[in-house]
Amino acid sequence: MLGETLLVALSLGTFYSLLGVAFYFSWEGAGVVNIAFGEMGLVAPYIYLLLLRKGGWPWYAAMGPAFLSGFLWVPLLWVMVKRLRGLATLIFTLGLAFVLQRFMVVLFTVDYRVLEVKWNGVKLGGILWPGPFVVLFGVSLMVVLGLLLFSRVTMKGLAMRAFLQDRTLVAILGVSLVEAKTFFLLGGLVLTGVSGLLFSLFHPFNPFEGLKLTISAFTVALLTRGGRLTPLLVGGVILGIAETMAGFWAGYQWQEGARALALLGAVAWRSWRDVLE
Amino acid sequence: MRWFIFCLVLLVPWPLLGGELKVGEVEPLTGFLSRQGVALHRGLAVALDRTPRGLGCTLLVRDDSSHPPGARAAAEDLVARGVQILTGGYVDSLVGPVAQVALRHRVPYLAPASLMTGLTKGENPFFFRISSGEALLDALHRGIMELFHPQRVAIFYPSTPGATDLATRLAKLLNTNGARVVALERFEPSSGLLAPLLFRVKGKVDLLVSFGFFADNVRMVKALRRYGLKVGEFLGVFGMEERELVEELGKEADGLWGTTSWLPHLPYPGTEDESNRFVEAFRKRFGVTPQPLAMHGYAAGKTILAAARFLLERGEPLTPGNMAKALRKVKVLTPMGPVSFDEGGEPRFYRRVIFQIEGGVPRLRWGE
Repeated sequence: MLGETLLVALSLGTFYSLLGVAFYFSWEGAGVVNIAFGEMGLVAPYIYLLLLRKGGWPWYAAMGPAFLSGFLWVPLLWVMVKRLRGLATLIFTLGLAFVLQRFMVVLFTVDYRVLEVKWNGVKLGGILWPGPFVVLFGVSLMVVLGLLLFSRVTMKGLAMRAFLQDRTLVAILGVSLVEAKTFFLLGGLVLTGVSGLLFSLFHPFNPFEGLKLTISAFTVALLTRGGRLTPLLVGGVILGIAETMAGFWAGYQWQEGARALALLGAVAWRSWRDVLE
Repeated sequence: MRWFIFCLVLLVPWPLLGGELKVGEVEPLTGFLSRQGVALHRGLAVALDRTPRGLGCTLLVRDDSSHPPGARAAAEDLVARGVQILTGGYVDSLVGPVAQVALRHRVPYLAPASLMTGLTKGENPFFFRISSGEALLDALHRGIMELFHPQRVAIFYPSTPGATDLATRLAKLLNTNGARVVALERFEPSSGLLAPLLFRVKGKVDLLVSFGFFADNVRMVKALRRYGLKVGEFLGVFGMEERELVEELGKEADGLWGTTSWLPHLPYPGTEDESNRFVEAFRKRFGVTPQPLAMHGYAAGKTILAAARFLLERGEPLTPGNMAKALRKVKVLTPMGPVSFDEGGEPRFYRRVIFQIEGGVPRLRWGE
């Protein structure tokens, strides 16, 4: 069963990379430490279910508005980007997280929901890779690799990466700071919606599950600086593997332990790097 | 004629006229335990519909959202509204806070579904419960040894106080009786990753006992079938008797084992008529067949009414203190067995039988 577990771990790890990128875009790109990340993400599956079950939309049509649900928060976050800095954004989004939680409880109740994927999955040399995890892996990897290529190959991508490294310099070179911030804000919000929807494929969710997403995203986002996306991809996969394999070898309680250790390790590593620089 | 009227007047149960009982119910009506909470509430409502003549009964219901702080706040609110007795609650993390409020305000609390040993061993003379962890443990232990004769057992349990207590004690009992518990694993209810937990015991055990709730059991069985994992027999302690389990799993449900206190076709011997009447009344009111757990709510409601009647017949007021005393004295026969309490509030009898699903129907295999 090691093969099956590794596939689950790899899928989860790739998903964590996506979470890390989404959080990082908003954090370093737009300057918002978004503690309401998880709650914003969870709005996407709720919108999807609403359109699917109440609205009678076909699943593929309901996906679009759900993916784009992150745009709901654009006006709010834009005001924040313009008026708040650093710790103030963290406090503001912490309050926002509580408001969103209550809002979702009122609208959707605290009942757990799951998006069922009927597809059984694929078999690789006798090893089953379940449908939800194949989707999780495929979509996450496509998005992260796409962004990685974009940031390395295209002029626009290079400019955005440069923005994350030295804002003064890119301003002198003629890159619009407002445009760059808008890019990261909107990009981060779309990725937040995608993350929420993917999370609901393999994890039962209710309005209080957002914190899990935020902590995982924050843990991975700590691993990089200066627009480098590779550490996010690698870090996410390592976290996914560590968490799942701890559960497989040592039991579920160690799965939680691995998650906590990863967060502590990431904070320590980031502090050490900051001191060096 | 005058003598006849006089005799009639004497025969009227005067104390039964004018009694007013306010029952406060704290239930997880939303959240991950809402399925259980709704079942308990409906059973209680059916029982309280049969209020004896002369007794006015008001049921005040509060939702705790399956969260302990919600349960505490709801109980405080109900006590402030002057209820004479509290009831409701599923799992001890929700029952515990209500029990604390009951003790602080000296209002009796009859929990329909609580199992943790500590709650009836402490100093809370206002706590009573319908279910018993001791009796469940005894039935599980004896049933497992007699039915399966297992060599190697895995026990999975969610991180709730009652399930943790029972699972660890069952492991000790099985270990001392010759069966080896090779895995005693805790998991988070509604976790997204149960498969690695199951991989750990694949091919290593001949019995897997799960203390998970309905949704956890469904996801576990689905993962077992999807990956083709062999773990011997699967015994789910809670929620396996629910109709929805068979609807969810279809033919895959056949062969699975579970435990129950009552099912419409498996009532306590001698209570078949009352059981049928309950099913009828439930269907009439809610339009569906009662979930098995609804009987715990019904038993709690019937016991509360019996205590109130006991007081009224003696001309005593329905104060919270008197209700607590009356609960210690009443004996009630319900379709899940007789209900009466010892000094600690623990039931003297709690029925738990083991069944196996066959052709989509739970069939009695152990107990009566």
